Amino acid sequence: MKEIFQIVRAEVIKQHRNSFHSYGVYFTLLIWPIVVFFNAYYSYKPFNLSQGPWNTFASQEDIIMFLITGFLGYISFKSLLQSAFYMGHERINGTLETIFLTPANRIAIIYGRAFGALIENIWMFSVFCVFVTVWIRRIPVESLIYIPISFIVLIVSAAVWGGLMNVIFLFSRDASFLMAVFDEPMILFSGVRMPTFVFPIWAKIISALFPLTYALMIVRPLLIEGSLSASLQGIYKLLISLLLIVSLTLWLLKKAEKNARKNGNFVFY
Amino acid sequence: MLTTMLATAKRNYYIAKRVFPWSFIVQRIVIGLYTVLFSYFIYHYMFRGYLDSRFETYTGSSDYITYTILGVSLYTFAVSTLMNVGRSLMNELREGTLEALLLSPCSRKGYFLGNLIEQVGRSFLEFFVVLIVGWLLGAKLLNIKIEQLIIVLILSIFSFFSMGVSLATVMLRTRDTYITQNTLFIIVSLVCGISYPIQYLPTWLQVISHVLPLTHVLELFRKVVIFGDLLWHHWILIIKLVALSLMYLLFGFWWLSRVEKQLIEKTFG
Repeated sequence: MKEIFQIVRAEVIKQHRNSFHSYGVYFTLLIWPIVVFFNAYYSYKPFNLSQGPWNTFASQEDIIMFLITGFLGYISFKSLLQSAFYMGHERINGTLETIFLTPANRIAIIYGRAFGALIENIWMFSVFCVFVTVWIRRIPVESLIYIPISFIVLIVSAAVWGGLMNVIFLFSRDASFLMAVFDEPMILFSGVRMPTFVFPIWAKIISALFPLTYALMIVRPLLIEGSLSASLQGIYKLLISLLLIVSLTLWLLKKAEKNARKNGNFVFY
Repeated sequence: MLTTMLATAKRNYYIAKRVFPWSFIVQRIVIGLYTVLFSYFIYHYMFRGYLDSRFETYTGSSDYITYTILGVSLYTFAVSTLMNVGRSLMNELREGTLEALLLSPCSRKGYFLGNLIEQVGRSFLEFFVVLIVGWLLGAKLLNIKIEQLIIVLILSIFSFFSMGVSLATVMLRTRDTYITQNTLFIIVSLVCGISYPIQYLPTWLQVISHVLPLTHVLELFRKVVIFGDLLWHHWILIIKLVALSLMYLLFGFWWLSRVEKQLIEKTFG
């Protein structure tokens, strides 16, 4: 157990040193998400909020709260996709084979990377979220106790998702391609910018594949309405989804290493 | 200039033929298609076509889908051209050929034009993929006057090329492509009126929209496609666009000559 903790800690430190050495990180982790958030907010402007069939949003503040919780979840998941993307850099830098040659626990490496990236990447946007919610005074006081629960839901589900992404990226040398394939569908189908209940059936089926959909089903009622009961229906769906993802991750991890042993050479192994 | 232009275009053609930039092309198309899909979902499923009354006042049309699809397709075209021209010098730096290029007496205008010409086909491919999918989703594109459209596209190539020259210099100066290009594209997508009229934005953001050529090209493009207008009816807009593009072009080349001198001094001095 101590060894696993050491590996996770080492990966977290490595992530920090790799990313926080330049000003660029403030663009990717703070400025870009804020601009994208405002872009999503203005996308609602051409529509008449009072005439739609769903009446989900009574005011502009409702849209802001919906989007800010959606984006907080998305940034958590996206940061792990990005960390997985950097798994490709290990290959380019020639450190991937060293990692595999060490006796370090593979699962600890994968989840250490995911966890390290998550903490590093979401704190700045979280500060922005708190600032916006305080500014528009929309968060109910009773919701404050749900903030830690929401963070745990997001952190656990995003870390599990990140583990899967890291393993998938182990197979590929061209990770940017996979990044586009996973990132864009997630933002649309998980209900980050638009509630999933308005989707047609085929889109709902795709939504069901992303754990972010369920994480948002839990986090939104908790933070926006302060309602624990409304979020309960998402919990078992999220648990099932996470269990399936962990099983898939473990299976793929074995397959990826086997594949690298068989087809790789010393440099690319 | 012509020799340099043809030589650069030929070299880039061979590079693209041997290592086709699939990743970038797929990424841009995927981003474009998902933005189109989001607009379709929000219009049909979320609001069932109920638009804000100001939308028609600002755009002169109530056809949201065509409005957005034209915006997204031209944005995809702009991003593609800007990336291919803007990243050119940094690619030379990464491949180790920048020093040879800077020492040679070849025309810089010819070099950038060569980069532009070689990639036009691929940029058009991305543009048309998004446009055709948009048409399948309900955009009205059949009333287009082809000769007017061709002129708009030539104007847009000129304006994106002008911005690309400035962008190439910024990238060379900062020695970065990732942060620079993505920050620009994210800002452009917020302020240039891609999927909503810029009048919804606060005044200070509208000022930024007016100094970006894409805003004006997009306005012309929509006038021609949605309303079937003749271009000479909008000659003031065309003059504004050409003047703005010329400013970017001249500034880009002026700044490049300064950055070049500094680079040569640092490398050989």
